[in-house]
Amino acid sequence: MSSSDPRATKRTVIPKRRQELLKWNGWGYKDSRFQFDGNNTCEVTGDRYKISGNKLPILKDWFIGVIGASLDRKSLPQPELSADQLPKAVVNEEFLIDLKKTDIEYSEDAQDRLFRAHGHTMDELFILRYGKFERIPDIVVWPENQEHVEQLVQMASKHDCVIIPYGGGTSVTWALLCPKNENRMIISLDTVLLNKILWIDEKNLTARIQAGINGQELERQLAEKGYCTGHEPDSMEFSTLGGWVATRASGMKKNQYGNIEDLLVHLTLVTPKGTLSKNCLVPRISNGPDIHHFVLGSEGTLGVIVDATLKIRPLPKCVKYGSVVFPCFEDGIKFMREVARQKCAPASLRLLDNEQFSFGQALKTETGSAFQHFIDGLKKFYVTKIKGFEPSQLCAATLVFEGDKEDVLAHENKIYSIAKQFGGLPAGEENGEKGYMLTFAIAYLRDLGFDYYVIAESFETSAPWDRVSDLIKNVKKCLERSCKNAGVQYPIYSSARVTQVYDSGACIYFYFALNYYGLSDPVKLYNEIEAAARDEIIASGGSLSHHHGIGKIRRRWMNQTIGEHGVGMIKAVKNYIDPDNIFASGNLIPSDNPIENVTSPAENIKAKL
Amino acid sequence: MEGFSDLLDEIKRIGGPLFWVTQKKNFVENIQTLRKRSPDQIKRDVLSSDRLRHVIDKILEKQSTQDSLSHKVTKTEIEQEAKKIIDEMAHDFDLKYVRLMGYILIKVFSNIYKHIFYNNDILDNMAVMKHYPTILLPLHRSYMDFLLVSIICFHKNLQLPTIAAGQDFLSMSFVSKAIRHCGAFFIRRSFGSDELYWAIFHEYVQQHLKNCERPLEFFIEGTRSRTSKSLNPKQGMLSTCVELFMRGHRCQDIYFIPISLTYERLLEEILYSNELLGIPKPKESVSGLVKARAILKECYGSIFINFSRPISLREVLFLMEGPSPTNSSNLLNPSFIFELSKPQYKQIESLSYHILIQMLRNQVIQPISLISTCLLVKNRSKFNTFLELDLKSLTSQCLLLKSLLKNLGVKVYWPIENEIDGDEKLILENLKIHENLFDFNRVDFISLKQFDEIFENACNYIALCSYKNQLANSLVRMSFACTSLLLSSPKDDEFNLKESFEIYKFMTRVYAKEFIFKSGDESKDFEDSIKFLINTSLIQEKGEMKKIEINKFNVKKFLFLSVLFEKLFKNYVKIYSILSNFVQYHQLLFDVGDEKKLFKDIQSQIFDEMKQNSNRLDYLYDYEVLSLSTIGNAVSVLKQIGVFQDKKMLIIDRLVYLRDKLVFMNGLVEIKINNLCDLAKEFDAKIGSEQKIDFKFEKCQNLEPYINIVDYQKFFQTTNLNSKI
Repeated sequence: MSSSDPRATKRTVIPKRRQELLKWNGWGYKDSRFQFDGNNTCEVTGDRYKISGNKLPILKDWFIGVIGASLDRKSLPQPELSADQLPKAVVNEEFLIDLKKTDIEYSEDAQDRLFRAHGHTMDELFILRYGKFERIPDIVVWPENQEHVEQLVQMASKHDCVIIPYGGGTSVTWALLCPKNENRMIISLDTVLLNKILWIDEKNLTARIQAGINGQELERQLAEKGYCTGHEPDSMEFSTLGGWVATRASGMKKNQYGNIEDLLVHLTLVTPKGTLSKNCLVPRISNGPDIHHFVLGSEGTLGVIVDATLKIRPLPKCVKYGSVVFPCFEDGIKFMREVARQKCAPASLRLLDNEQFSFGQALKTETGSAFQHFIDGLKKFYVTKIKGFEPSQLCAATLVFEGDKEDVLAHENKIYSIAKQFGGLPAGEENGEKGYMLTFAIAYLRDLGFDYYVIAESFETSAPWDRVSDLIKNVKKCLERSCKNAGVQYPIYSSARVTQVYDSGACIYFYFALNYYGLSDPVKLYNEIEAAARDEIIASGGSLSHHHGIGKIRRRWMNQTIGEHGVGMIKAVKNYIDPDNIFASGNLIPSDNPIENVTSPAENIKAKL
Repeated sequence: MEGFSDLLDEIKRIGGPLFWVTQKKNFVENIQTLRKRSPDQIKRDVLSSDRLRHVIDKILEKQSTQDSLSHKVTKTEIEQEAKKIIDEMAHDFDLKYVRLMGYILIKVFSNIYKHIFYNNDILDNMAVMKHYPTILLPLHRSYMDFLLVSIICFHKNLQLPTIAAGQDFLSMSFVSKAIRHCGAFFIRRSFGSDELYWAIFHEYVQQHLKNCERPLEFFIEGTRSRTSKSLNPKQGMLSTCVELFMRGHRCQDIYFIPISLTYERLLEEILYSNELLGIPKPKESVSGLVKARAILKECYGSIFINFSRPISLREVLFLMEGPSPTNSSNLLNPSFIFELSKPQYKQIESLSYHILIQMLRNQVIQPISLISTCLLVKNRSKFNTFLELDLKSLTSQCLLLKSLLKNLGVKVYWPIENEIDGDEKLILENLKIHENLFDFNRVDFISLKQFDEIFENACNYIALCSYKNQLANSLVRMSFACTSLLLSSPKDDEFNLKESFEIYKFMTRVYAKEFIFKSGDESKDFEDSIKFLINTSLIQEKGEMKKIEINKFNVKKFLFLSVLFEKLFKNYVKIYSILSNFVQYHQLLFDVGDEKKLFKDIQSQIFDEMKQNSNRLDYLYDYEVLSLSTIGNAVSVLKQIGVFQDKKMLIIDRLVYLRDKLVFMNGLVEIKINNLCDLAKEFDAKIGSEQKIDFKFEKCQNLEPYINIVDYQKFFQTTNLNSKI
């Protein structure tokens, strides 16, 4: 990782008792949070991030002005739950007896179980802060190698238990939630100890890696040898290789390195039927349908991914951020499309709409120097007055270039000359970097919002190029309309980013925040709004998901999206490989009970007013 | 009238037409408009669109596979053709000309019209124009319609619409140029499978919608209704528009603004009558226009223009199919290929009826409609022409109808001062405007003008009917419900709801071309009508079984509703009788050939019969039977209800069956009504109020054709055979 990367730079290894390092009811590290200090100025605690220890003087105005939060109205979370407040564990004694015969580590501790009961959707955090889960895992196990995993799956099959594999816990699809009416013992299989790079093959540029390793650890270890995978999803501090494969993850720099399905050379999956893997490490194979693609996106319904062999690359010599401002979003989209047409996208290329661009500006740290203010003012003057950009319309593209120094320079020139055709003005490295900072800060910021009656979520889709612009407009309008109909009293914040480009389309990422003060049923309302937005996306020609996956939150649309027979094929594979439904997370395949498909786990938790 | 303002008055008050037309204008703009384009830029955008490129390639490809001998057109030739098409089609909007036209029109209008009323909440209803693609949909009764809509928009600082017009005007280059400058574009009446034309048309319309520079306007009825009833809605233009949203939400939503216009007296009144009687419509020409100046010397009363609540396409579709299309497979083609699925066409059809019904519901009814309805109904048992009524009876009858309409939620314009005989004065005043139709020789007695020629009488009569027809769609459901109740049971004062609904449905199917019924809504409409009849005490629920029976206090109102459309039923019988007489004795199928000619043949046959029996003309039908509209509707509905095979061949036994069934129905209604008249008389005598309300039906004497049909058993057998037709 290059030194300018805004993500966590302090070395950390996630411990088995994750809650010692990480927040039990929020995002990320315990020591890092956004909070308002005595003078109502936002500050970032800790020392992990580039932004840490800084004050964000403008954020308060954004917070109050844009979403109408009030610093006097707080909605603080409940204190940490004690064991007696959590659901009682279902115990399968025969399984426990067998487990004790092995050397696999495990825990029946309530807080360990709670930590693995959820992912990071708004609903799940809402439960952690204000309510209780109805069902959580009954035991947590920590296998250290493939053999352990095989033993566990066999024992679970033998004694009819349920396994839910757990990687980084960053899912945003209700995928980790335990089905409410599951009467069998639920085992959370935590892969945190499966964290080793087994080998690196420098001739073929591949590496076999255990599936529990998280992104930052993987990149750090590879970097020591001068390599990288280049797979950098926004959650990479915590999310794991196994999770990426299971959800068909996508990384920020996919233009340079590819998405997870492009990086994957080989994988090993432990299933109730036995262990599945190909017998060769080949770049491509014409061998009937690719069995990797049964596993990619299977979301823990087929088995446990224990390791994967990925392509690796030598570390780039030069990494450079950049940014371009456009007079309006439409122009920006035209630029993106042109770059995709010429197939010259830099490692990362994103287009932030006006709302997100302004939000990025609100995260400016205290600069102090009057000279800097002067320069900023001058830049603004140039863009808005000389160039005639409308401040409420302009939007920005952020860029990351990677490669040899000369290549990066040439690449920059090409991109900026395309931008110029569409009225784009280069806006410097710093603005680019700030754009990327936002994507990691946003999860922390959501916790700040929670404290002040603001709930926020993100969702994404992919669409053909000619539908991108309409889709974004439609979804924003849909959010506005749905909130108005639901009686939301404050202005909502919705923002879109074209976050990946492809030859035939793009990935679109939405942020959405609303101030629910005065509403008694914010979770139900929020879910109805998100469902309406998803319906709008589908009607506008977008996909159900580009990289978040289906989980349980989106399975109601599966039939509509891939058809009855498509779902039938997925079911057939599942029935063959896991006939007793040991991997019973209930992801992907719509439940026969339609109400279950649309009910949020947090539906019955009312707001405290 | 409350809730309405008078445009002419407002113009006068701000300083006259010249000042009005030269004001600085600040039209409310749509925020969706990305860039404002000149009419020429729009044309260029259409010509360079993906859709056009795609279609041109397709045409070239198709001809390359055809045999090599035929003449081949080159790409340039097709492109030139495209250029020609768009030049013929496109508008050339220019505010300067709008101002000029506006000035001339207001000058003329203030001479010939008393008031031009528009609704005060117009700005609330048109507010959607700021955010969404908006389509204005006026009723089409006159050439004045679109001019008036544009004038009101200009007056209220609303963007003037881009209007889809028929090509009728193209022959007058001077007029068509002027209309183009006012924002109208021209489409061919039919362009079947001309791919190039289709593509240009779609692209041109959708470009306007998508960029929202100005709202779109077209006539959902397709052409002017000559009868003042409504024509069944057309779906072509509508589907071109809604495809933009239906397929992949390429715009946020589309809002439809139904605009209801009513005229106290139509400029085209006598032209329409003539046309319906078979004198072809004069071709639009400048010399015709000059001649028409004569008609501009008369007074044409008041106009109402009601811009109603906008209808959201998104909401309508949501109710039909849920939040997102369950089968989104028609997103699999790129957007430049026009594509709608069968279910989507069904939805569009349903939408078109939904909108049209709203338009009809929001009409403001003027006194002349009430007067002509009462005059016609009160003279039901007399021969057509000798319509007459003393002013007092007419007044009381009109007031009765007015209260009925008010109960139905129909807006009625009835401007009376608080003075004695205000209602009568109002009626007389209104009749003055129509002095071409009426005879005022006898004091306090209203009668229709009499002529020696049947043709002239018929012409006058049909003109009178057109005012009654403005009410047709407001009253038809109620009237059909009453008729079907009457037919539903052997006993005169007790009804059978189930049978009644079957008969009601049958009637809505046979008269589908005369009125606007949305298919699928029959049972809801029927239930609502029954509820209305109960709530207004025309019928009542009795006993624990909730039996429906007539309310003896209101027999007369009930009768009034029952006989409203009886002439129409009889006209259909007449038309079907003539039609079945055209057939040779043994024929099973009858090739109708040229429909226009067939209609004319039927018309002249009836005309001849009328001439021969001019002294013995009975009440069995009225002059509307001569109207090409009635004949056309009666024949073309046969295609919808299975009396046709392959659209060309008439199935004779079905036709005869239908005719007999209608004869049956008519006879039965006749007998029932006579019985009810007796009942009413008896009841009046009992409570001693006989002459108080003058609402006495002449009992029909001539029942010859219906003798021997009071066999209920047989009648219901036939109604139950519904499914056959």
